[in-house]
Amino acid sequence: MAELPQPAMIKGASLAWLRRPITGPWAMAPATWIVELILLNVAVAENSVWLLRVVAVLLLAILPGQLLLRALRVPAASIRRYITYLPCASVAVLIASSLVVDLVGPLLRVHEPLRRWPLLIVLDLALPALARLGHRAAPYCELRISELIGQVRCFWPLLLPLASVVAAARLDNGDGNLLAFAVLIAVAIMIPTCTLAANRLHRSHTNLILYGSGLALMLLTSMRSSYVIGFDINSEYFDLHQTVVNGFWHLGHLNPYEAMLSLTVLPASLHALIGGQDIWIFKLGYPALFAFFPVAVFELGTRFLSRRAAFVAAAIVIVQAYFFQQQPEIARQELALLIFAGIMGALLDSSLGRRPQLGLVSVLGVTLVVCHYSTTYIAIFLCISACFLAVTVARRKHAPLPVLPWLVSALVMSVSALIWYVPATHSGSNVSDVAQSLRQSGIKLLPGRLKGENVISAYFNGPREPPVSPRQYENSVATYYAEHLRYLVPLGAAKNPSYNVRAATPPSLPDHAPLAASGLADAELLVQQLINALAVVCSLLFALRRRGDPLTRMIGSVGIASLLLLAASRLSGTLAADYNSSRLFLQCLFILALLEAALFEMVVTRLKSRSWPGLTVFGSFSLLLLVAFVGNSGLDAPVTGGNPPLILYNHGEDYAGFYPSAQEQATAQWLAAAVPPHRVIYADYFAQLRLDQFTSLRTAVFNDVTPRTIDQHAWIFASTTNVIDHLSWGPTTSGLLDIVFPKQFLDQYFNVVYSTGSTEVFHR
Amino acid sequence: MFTQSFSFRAVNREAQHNGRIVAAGILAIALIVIQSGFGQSILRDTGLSRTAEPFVELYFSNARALPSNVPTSDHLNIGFAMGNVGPTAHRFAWRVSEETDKIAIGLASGHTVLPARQTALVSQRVRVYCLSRRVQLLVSVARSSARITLWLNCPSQR
Repeated sequence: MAELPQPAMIKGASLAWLRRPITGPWAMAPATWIVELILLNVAVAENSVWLLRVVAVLLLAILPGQLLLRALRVPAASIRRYITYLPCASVAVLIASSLVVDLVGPLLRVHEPLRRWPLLIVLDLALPALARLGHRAAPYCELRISELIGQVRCFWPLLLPLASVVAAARLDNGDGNLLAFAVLIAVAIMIPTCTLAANRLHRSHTNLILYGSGLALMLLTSMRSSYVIGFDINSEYFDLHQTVVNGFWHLGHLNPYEAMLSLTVLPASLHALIGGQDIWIFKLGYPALFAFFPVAVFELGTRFLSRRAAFVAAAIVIVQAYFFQQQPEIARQELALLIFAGIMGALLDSSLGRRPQLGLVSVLGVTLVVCHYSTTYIAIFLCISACFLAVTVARRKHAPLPVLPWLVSALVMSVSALIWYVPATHSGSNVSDVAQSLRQSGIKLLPGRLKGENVISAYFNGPREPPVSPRQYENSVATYYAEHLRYLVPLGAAKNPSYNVRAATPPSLPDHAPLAASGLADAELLVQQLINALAVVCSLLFALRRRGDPLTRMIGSVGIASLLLLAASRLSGTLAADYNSSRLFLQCLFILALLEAALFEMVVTRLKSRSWPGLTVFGSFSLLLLVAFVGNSGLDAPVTGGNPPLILYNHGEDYAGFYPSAQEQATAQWLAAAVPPHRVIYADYFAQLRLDQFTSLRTAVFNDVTPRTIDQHAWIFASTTNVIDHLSWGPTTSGLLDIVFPKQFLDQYFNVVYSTGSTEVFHR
Repeated sequence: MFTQSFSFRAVNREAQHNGRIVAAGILAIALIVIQSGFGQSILRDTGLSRTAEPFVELYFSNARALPSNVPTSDHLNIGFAMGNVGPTAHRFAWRVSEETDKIAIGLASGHTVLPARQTALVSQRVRVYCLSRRVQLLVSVARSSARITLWLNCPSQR
């Protein structure tokens, strides 16, 4: 309130009756939240009308968070400077209220509690309760939504996500990829342009640019197809859909996906409240939330960097394929990384008082625990390690670092994780899996190191295995099946040499400029390694430097902790196999990107006697980021050829593997209904994703579709790629092997019991 | 000086406020129009609405227990189902044939009219000619690449 300019207050006077404190027994807060709550009720009640659906989305994203943050006494100015608090807090409230409905509902004979009315009733109780908790909050905790909305003319970046949705639909309908290219080019232009202009842009405008760009890139992936796109998201969506169908989720012995509320209770509740198809929560809703991640990087950066440097830090995140191609395919981590950004923002927020800070990190810590395991474990490690490093380093400094919130955060997450993963859901198998791997295989130091290769080279090359030939693959899986899976009996005819596994040529674009392709690949590698190298230098510099303020020194400590984690996953083959290092990298990049930008800022500051350094240093680095973006997005594909990216083409290896068709859905569902309980199913590496998404067929499904491994009484699910392109994949230690689908063998010895023309099921 | 700056800011705020209302209004009208039949037809015409490609699904109704031998009577009951996975009704012409390396002999044929998203069961008694020791029956649908097959061993005396 104190920060508002006078005219704004006068303008607001016309609506003063809305904010007038209510007196008497309902004396809780200004009346705006009541109006918003009534509007939310109307919007949810009539959510079949798209306009009201949009209103429901906006209110669900803002109102619960607004009330929770006020209840926690978080100053409105802190929220305006770190807008990510708002969606994080809303997610926390929605998860908590939905879980309460789910657990209490059955006791009150509400057998399907995750439906619209029970959820709305509990929200109608929870939100006033939060308002009651916050009614004595100081006026500076009163956040007005109108203050978050900038000038309308700054909204243009939100047209980019809209263009992405249209581009994906046009590409799906076979209407070309021109618009998808246009979106990518717009983002590519935005990176260097906004880097140069960032210091002159309004903060909220920069936020919108980052949000719009990040979301647009993610939607190019997530909005492809009418189904979910990706790997993990197939099983994630199945669990969501089951929760939606049942209208109920329960505690007990659950597999890790079932135990994550980010995949079950929350999206099912959002679907019930917002309406529409449940799949849109993952395809549109979660990317819209995760798009706050680069915004969080920027806003955290502005606490100690210039806007230009902070923008560069956010751009480092946005250009990563891990951010815009991989994350939309991992719904649970999209949400978890958003919460992680909220926790980091709160821990590094000196504008928060001690109690609001501890309250916020505790609430978000518990929310993170129920959203995603790995992100939680990494967050706990970062908090504890950063504390240790900060305390160790602080002994040699005058000013101690504030480590208490970090310890509290780690403690809250650890205790919550222990309760949630063990007695509540019995879903901690992933931890025991890692422990078992470490016991069995040790840490496997630099497993990819070749004979005579030095350690540094092996480290940078990462885990590698020599390529496997189709013949080696065939022999190896045949031997394995014969020794370990004796109940599977292949046909004798499978040994006929004419049915030997053969290599297939993956679909690719012609390489029009081999030199350019090679140069770009080298440049990309250089940029990526530059980012890695800078991360090491910056973390050490900021953690150890003598004249640093507590904020930058703490960020430096978190940076070193992040690097230790990344190095461990790079050095140990066992850890690398148990957790995808690219996902770990993205989480760590939240801090490392800031440190890298800070290093450039430091260089520029040292050269500040001249006018050119800022533009030159940041401009040059943004051009390097542009190179990385061009390579990561596939913008270069028309010239350099190679594997066509899914966001731009209706062919290519990604399209063949990840893009589900209606025929595949029908075939998978028929198979699930047709097979007996005791059966063996074969589906190749990517075909299994269709079974994961559309059916509950999980056990006794084998991925090695070769004549010498197929049981003679098996059911074989053949995807569109298998039938039309005759392409299949063999999973090997060195990655996926492109092989010819054994259609000739199957046609000769199995019946085709189901067909849509582009998909088939074989059985005999 | 202060008064001038003050009124300028106030006017600017008023303009911003009006701009937001106009933007919200445009968005609201756009959403209402898009949900209407008119809006939907525009989306379809401009290729912005995903169009589901119609297809036929063809399968054996008793896929778990298909015969593997031709009965001694030479006559076999074959049952299969056709599903119309499309938005409109279609007339499907089907054919059952016996396939060998060189020739295909038609055993039965017919047509079925199927409304949208409906499935029909077809049951036929066909005579199998057993032109070789192992024959393949093929069920196909005209103007579709969907086809199902059944391998049968012929009696040894043939």
